[in-house]
Amino acid sequence: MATVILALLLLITLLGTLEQVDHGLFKSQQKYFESIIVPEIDMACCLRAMHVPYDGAWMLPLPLPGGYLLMLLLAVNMICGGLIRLKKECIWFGKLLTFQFGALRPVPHRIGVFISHFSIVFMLLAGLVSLYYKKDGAVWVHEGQTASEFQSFHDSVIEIERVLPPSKNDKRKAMIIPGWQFEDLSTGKARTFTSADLPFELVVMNYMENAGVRRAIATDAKNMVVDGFSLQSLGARDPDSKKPIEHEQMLNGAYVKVVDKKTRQEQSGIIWRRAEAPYTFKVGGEVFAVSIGRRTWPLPFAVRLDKFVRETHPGTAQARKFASQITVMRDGHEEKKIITMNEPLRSGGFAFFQSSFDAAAASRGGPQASMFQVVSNPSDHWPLVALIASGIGLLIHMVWMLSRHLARSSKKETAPV
Amino acid sequence: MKLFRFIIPTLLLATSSVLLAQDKPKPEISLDVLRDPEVLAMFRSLPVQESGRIKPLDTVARVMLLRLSGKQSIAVTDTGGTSGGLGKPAPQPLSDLGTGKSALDAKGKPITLSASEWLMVCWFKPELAKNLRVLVVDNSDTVIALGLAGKEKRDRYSFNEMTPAKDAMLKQMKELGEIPEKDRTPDQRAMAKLGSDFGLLAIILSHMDFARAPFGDQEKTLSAELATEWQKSDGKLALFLPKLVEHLKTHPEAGAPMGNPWLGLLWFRTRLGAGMSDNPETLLRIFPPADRNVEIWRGPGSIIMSALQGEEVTADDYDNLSRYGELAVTADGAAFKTKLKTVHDHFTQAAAARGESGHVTLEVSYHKADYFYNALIYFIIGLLALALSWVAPAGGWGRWCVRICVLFTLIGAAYSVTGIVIRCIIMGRPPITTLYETILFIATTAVLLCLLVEWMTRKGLALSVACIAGVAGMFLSIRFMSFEGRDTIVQLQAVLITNFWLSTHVPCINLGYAAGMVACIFSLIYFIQRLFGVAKAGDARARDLTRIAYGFVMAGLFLSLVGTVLGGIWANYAWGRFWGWDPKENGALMIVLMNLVILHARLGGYVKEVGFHCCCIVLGMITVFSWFGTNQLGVGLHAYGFTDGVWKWLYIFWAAMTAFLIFGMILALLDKSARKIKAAAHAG
Repeated sequence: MATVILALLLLITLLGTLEQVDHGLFKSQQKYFESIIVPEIDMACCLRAMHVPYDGAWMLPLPLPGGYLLMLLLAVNMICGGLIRLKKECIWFGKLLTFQFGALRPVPHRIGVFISHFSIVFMLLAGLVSLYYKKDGAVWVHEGQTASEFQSFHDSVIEIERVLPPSKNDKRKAMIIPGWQFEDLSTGKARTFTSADLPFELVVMNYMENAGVRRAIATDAKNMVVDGFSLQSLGARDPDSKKPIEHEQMLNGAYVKVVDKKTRQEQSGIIWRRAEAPYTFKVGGEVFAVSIGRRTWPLPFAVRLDKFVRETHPGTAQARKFASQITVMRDGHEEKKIITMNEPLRSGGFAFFQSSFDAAAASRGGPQASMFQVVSNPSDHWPLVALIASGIGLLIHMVWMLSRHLARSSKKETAPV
Repeated sequence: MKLFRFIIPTLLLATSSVLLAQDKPKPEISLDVLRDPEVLAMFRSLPVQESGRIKPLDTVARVMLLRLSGKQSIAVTDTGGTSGGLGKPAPQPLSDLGTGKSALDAKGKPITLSASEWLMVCWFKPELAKNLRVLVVDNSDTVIALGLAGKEKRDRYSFNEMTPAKDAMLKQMKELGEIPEKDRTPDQRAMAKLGSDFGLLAIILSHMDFARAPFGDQEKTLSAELATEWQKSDGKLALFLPKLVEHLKTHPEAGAPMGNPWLGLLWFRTRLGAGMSDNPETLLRIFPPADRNVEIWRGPGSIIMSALQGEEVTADDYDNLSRYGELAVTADGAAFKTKLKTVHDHFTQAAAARGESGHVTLEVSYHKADYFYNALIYFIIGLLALALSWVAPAGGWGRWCVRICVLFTLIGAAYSVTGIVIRCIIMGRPPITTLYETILFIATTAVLLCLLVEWMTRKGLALSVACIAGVAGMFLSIRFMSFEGRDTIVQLQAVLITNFWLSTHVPCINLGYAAGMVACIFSLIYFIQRLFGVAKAGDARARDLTRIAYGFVMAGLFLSLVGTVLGGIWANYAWGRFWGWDPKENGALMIVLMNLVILHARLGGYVKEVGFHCCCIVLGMITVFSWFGTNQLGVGLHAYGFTDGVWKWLYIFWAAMTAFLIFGMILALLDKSARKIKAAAHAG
């Protein structure tokens, strides 16, 4: 059983790697590694990735179990298999945990195997926890500016704000629709969202993952034109390089229709991630704004960028060092820190990583800008624990095997012929 | 290809120095002076700042010659080699144009120039250098397409031989400039390489023109005022440049290259040649600045460029330019030696004063010792000795051959370990930072691991794998180096500058690769022995092979698992994510998974002896995929070494392995039926 799961995992790892060449990392990761079932294999892409000249399209309709399912099965297999086959080791470990030190002898001989298996289960668990509870995103800060929130890389949201009348406690957000509730609304599909606090219903339709806004042309369908503009899907590939566009760079957008709950009057609009301003409308004397974008998370502290430094190897454009000198501000305290490659800032459950910089500003001079990747992950250090445990487990087992082997061969040598 | 921007003016001007030479023949330094050991030692150890590090001029010369000719030495003969092929006449020495005599050494044999000697000949005796066959052409069709007579299919051509095709090359290069590099056909790529190599050679040959004749044949187009100044400067550019800068301030019209042919020549040929490159990032930077706050070194090209662009040039810069240029106008041997000593001592001391001596002397000796080539030779001798032992394995002859093999393999391993250690000292870093270094490391550790196993088992099996791994690895490293044609000691990008992870994660992963490859070689030996009937299913020999291969699979699992997870932890601490499904990460994961599959399939009894060895071969195929293949996909963070033409070799390897797999399957079927017959006989 374990062999089959591992072999299948090996196969989907290979296919998922090859499909990145045409489909990008995000798509193949979703299709192969975070899925229950992989419905079909893009053989044409895999062949091209392996430099086999193949121009046509070839979808192999061979369903394979996805990475999520396989890793789940692997964990279950290891736990069950461990309980059944390594019974002695389980009992021994139980005694260790309940401090029955007197009863620890004899040590069962497969204790190393036991430790390494359970540390791998722990590592898979760390992966599961980070899949569901990890928040990761980024924030751009200019020199002198302060950031107190960050934006997700991949999670889309539609936000509805009440602009007028202004609320007393400065809370403007009236409703947030998470991405999974509208990302399936491709051309021709629509879904109505409603909330008890709002005097209108919001219909979201024709969602596009990567889109641009352009002036409407004569051939556009009438219901796809709003104020002389329409939203055009741009596809998932860069038209020049033909390479897949990374998901975090995609600009999503959709059409929305606002229906007044009382009068049933309708108004239409376009929302787009790159839009300068949200789509604003009036219902029953109140003004609302709708926008689409990446989800933002607040930080428990603020970070000010004091100075960004970039050094190159002399005489070349190759970078030697990126460093951001920052000030962390929390509850009125200020603290100076430096974030550089391989040396992130860890504070309050969040980690700040030096991720990018404004290349144009760096060559032009003047105020610089720095991008930080921000991550909050409850299982941050679990893999390290798992690694140390599994390393110790494997070492114990190898030493035991070697000593048994040596004992046997010495016995053989002394045995009478 | 950045070269395209400047290649066209270079090609246009490539021949004007030929005309010049016919106008004014000047006395030249003799070849013997340039080959004087003292002169050579001083020249090759001149410190240079290139690609962000301090290195000896010898390294620069080697990389250039390697790029142009695919070798690190060149013979002064009419073929570029020292021996003729089968049924061909022996190569004739070229004549030393300075003395008019044939270029022969003290024993009367044709001379072979080292890379540094070749560079000196290019700089100080360009007319001789133009007859040296350095430009390697892999397919004579490229030359025929240019309207020249092709020689052998793969052959070398001199600068003078290629010059008649200059216009045709220029036309081709213009057309190729329109096609993106990755869309070019192999023929177009070969043409682009020849064109840019010819351009580079033209640049190298005109390096010292700034001191000899900065205006070439356009000297007479200098305005009367400037001509007077030029006379007063005694034909020295270092003295003339400051005056020219002043003149251009008051006479901006003189600064237009179109109306002033002398300026065009100064800018497009002399400056390019003095800089030794058309790429601002790879200019020859050989003058350590006196001002310690200036990080970037100066060179003749950058000084001329700064002066013409009105940027600041210090008196120290002009002094250096003048001192350096003197070398090119000295024909007397003794005077040349003295001047070179002045230049060498001055620049070496200036670099030392800045604390930037680097490991110049060590690097020169590293090149001279040629550790990996020597290691290859010793491994080959070891392998031959081992093969001879098979003639009579049991007797004294066999024992002695094995002893010789062990000795030579140890010497080979010592050579490659020394080479790797010296590279670490030069870089100031742990051993592995590039794909080339993974080859050295994996081959060396594979040899050492096998020798260790041999010491434990004493069956001669691991010894043969040690020799095979050593020969294959060293051969691959030498091929890979000429394939890449660039300096193998490079500066790292910011994220990799961390000695902790470079000395834990990276060696661990590479040891995992080494273990996988060694297990694969043991399985290959198993199949070869089965093929020739040396080993039979389940006999002692076969069991030994299986046991050792199994040990390597176990070790490989441990190393690649720890290495992979360490990589994840590094990624988590550097980027904030443990695992990102990046191709190189996935490659490492695939090796771990394959090791696990083998382990569990064997424990579960799904595979027997033959099946196990088939699995090891698959492990080898996967290891090669993640070692080289994942870098070639062109996606991901670890794409640090895309190399043209690697796919062909990958497929050759995979095809060979597949053949073994098929053989393995047939064997498995035969073994099964044999067992059945045996069982039936027992029952009967």
